[in-house]
Amino acid sequence: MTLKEITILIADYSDYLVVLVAALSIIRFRKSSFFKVLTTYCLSLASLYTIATILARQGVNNWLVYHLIGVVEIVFAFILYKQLGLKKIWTLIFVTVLILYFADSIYVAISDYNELALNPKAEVYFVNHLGLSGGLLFILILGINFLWTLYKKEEVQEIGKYSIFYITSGITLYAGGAFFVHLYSSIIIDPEMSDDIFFYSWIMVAGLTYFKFILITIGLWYAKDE
Amino acid sequence: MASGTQKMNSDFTIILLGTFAMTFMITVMFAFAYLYQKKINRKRIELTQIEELLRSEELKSAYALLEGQDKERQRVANDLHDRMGGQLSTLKIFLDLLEGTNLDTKQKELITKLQSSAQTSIEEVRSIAHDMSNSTLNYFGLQKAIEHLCEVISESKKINVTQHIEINVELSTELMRDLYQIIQELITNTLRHAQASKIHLELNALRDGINLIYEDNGTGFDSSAPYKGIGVRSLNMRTERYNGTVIIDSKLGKGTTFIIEIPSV
Repeated sequence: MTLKEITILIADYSDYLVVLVAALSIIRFRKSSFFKVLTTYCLSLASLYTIATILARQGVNNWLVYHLIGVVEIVFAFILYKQLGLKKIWTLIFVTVLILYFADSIYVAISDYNELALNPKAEVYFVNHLGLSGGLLFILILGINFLWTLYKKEEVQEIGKYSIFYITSGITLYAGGAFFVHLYSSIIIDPEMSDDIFFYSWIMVAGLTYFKFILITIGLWYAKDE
Repeated sequence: MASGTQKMNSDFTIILLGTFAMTFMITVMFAFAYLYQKKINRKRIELTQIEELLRSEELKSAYALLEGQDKERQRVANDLHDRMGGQLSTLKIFLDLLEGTNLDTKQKELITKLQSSAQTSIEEVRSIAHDMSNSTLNYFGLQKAIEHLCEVISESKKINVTQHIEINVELSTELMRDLYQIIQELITNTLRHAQASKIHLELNALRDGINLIYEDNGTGFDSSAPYKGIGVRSLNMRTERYNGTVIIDSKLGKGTTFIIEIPSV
């Protein structure tokens, strides 16, 4: 087995990691609203990734599921941070981001189906990269806002043992890295570009997914002591 | 060829930017955790320093309160003795002078009664003044006086003084005063120098002798060192009056224990 094959294998399993984290979030279930939302988030993601995998194995286009995953990411990130305290303005931004996300999804779906109608052999990916990038940027800013509030309030005595820091760091780290990939996704999936760049981007998102779920796992681990 | 080079450059740029974005995000997270903890640790040190400062100030206040109470009692005692006693003595002199003049029997009887009453008042005032100068000790006895002293110190809320006192024999006023002053001296030393949070004292006055154990959890000192402060010397002097002994057990950072033993009284 070559190094590339090992990397592909590891990256392939990144989506399944959420199932393990969802299971862990049930085992380590905490009654606080933040952890209730986190468990629901992990379960929703686990369900959607499982559906996406089943559809892909049956040869059915699963773009709609991935668009839904994007919605879950944005909605749950907002609800999670809302539990930690957000000003009213964030609700307005959230609604705007969500509307733009749906608008981009609908636009991408219509334009790609139109292209398929004209040319059934056309390579279309149904990637709503603008809506998704906007959503990820929103999550990234939410994360930075939370860290800044945490820094100002100075309420946490040991950041290294603060479960919410790990969980929000995982979400922010993923959003920050994936934002870049999705922003350039139209270039990345361009048939003119080399396969290496697609491979690299895919590995990067997989790596970020590992980071995200490992950090959430650490957070869930520390949550038992709080 | 040119298009191939341009494509490679584009690939390279995207890989470079992607790697940079990922590394940057991870670095930001680590830097945040490091800076946050550094800030919290700095605040914690500052708070500890402020607490220590407040604590030393509160101990100073407790000490000042103790000193103030004694000074106030002394002042009232002196006023009673000097002013009231003086006035009563003058009154008695006038009554003595009046005794020598031509008075009838009834008046002489009245003068004698007034002289006796003035004399009693003079003695009472002297007695009250004397008792007051010995503060709580003479009013309520040694046990209550020590308990009161411990309460006053504990009110600072920064140093906890616990005691166990058992007095089964009658003690002379001098011995009571000396024991009280020994304890007062020990507490004063702890407040001034030891930075302790706890004091415990045990006093047992039984037929076979007096045993005083005084402990604090302060900074301690090297008890084997030849130099002893004025406080310790005064302690020795007071104890030696009754053929007693003082044992000091202290090490730096390990608190201090004083054991005072006075043989059968």
